[in-house]
Amino acid sequence: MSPAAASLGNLKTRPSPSQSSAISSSSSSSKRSSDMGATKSKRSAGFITRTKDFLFINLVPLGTSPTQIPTNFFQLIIFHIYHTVLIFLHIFVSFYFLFARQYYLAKNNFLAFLYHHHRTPQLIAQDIKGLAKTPQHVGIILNYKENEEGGGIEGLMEQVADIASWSIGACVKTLTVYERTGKLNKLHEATYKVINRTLKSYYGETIPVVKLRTPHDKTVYPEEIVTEPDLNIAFISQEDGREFLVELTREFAYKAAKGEFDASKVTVDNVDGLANQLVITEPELIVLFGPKLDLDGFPPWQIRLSEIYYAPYNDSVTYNVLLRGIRRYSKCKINIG
Amino acid sequence: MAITSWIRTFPLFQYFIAWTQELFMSVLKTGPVPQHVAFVMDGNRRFARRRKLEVREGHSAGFESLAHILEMCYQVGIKVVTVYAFSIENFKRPTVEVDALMEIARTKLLQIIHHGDLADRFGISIRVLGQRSMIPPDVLAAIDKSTEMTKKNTTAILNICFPYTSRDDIATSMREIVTKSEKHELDPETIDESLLEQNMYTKDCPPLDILVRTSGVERLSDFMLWQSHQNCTVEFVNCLWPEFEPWRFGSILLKWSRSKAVEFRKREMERDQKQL
Repeated sequence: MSPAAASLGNLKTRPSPSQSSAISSSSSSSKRSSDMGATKSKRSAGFITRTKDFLFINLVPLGTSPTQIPTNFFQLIIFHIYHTVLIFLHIFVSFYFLFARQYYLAKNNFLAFLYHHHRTPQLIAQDIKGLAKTPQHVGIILNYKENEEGGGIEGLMEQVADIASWSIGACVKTLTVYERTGKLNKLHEATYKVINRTLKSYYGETIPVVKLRTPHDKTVYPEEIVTEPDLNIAFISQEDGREFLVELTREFAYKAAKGEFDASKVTVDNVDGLANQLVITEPELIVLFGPKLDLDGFPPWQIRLSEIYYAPYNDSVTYNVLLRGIRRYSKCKINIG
Repeated sequence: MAITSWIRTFPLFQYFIAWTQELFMSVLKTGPVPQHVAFVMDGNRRFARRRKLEVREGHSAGFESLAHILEMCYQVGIKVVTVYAFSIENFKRPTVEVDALMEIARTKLLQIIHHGDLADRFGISIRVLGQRSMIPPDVLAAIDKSTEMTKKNTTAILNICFPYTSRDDIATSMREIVTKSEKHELDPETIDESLLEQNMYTKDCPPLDILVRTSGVERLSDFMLWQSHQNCTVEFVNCLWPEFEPWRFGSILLKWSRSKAVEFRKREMERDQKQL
């Protein structure tokens, strides 16, 4: 939090330094009481000062900015009246979300029933038949769930296999799978087996060809492929996001310090070319399978024009979410400029 | 509806609305408040088309809406507001429109200078982020003057992204770092994320908390890509920017305030559990 706290310190705030050091937006109450101990010992610890400090500082809830700490008794009363109103508003919002969540869950379940793939590629092809355009490159964000049913590494592989089958049915050529911790990055062989097993249940004996790669490790599986693959899957993680750009800068800087590289060559197009070559190209559609819109560290450079789709309060990887994302993409108008 | 337009004709109605807004902001201030909010002001042209106005008037209506929203932001105590006024890609639009936008920018900045309305009342310092080399010289002069005039204000910051694309921002930051390394002013070992952030246009600003995009488009369109891809609430609102009413923004703030309060509470409980 240091850059935030430093910038807070730059801008004018009202309270004394001891208070502002004690309260920042993520400080703990124990830290607060230890800082209180420091200020107490600085002043003569009278009973009145102690109650005042208790009333004015410890009763202020977490997350309140330092400028809002009341400095006299009247302000304290007003503060707590307003805060009570805020708490009631929060409760009201929670109730609203309760009902909204039920609505969205019901809608998700209904759509899952209506648009079920039944493991038939023809049904998938039917679903996308009337669409004006379909994405060629889709990015998906998966969440690794450790202790849940259908979770763990096998759960991730099953999810990737399902999404791969639906994508092939929807004529998607490239799939980018983002999982923040990169659990699947080194497990190509096992993932390949799971994908092929799922594809067999969709296509029978002649299954489409799938090629897996991890840009960060520069690995490809299977290593020799005879025909052009029907689907290219790339596995990326957090290190392909900001860290990639930092690594690139570092490499340029090393070369420039040695005099082998001209700094004016660092342009948007050059970095773009390197990012597309070394990580992934720009996905046209990003589908999130979580309950809220959280990009979770997906590589920032490549998502400049990607349509972002998610189904609110959804927490499972289902075909209808992907289909709705593709439909949203087909309806959107992309004007650059 | 007839009833609402009848109520609007009551003499003190506007005053009552303003008073309610201030009260609501004071209530919100007692809880978690975002430090940095960004807006993509999308939908001015569609608004003009729907109401059969000229595009220029759509942009003016958009500016009015911006003034209302900025007032709300600074009332609730948001330190930094970043606004996407003009993209480098927008230079490809018809010359008439680009000229109209430049004209609006120039006149509004001059208005802020001459009257000092919003800026001095809330202590805002105005900064213009983006590729300065692409701005025509008269607009550049107005920008420099308004930046100079409001530099003394330290309470809040308004970042106007004009003209800006996030990729240009990141590439410029990288280029500056590489230039410094070339001149041996910087050790390549020390290059990390925070160094890149310190060289971007948004260098002194706290991390982005909320990004709001209007007009129902669900893309980032090269705005704040680096800042919004983690730990940031992205809200896509399904109305056009001139129609982005204060109550909509108020509900976004309330939702954010509640989710942050829940997060703090959870963190506190986890910490208490660990201590046990």
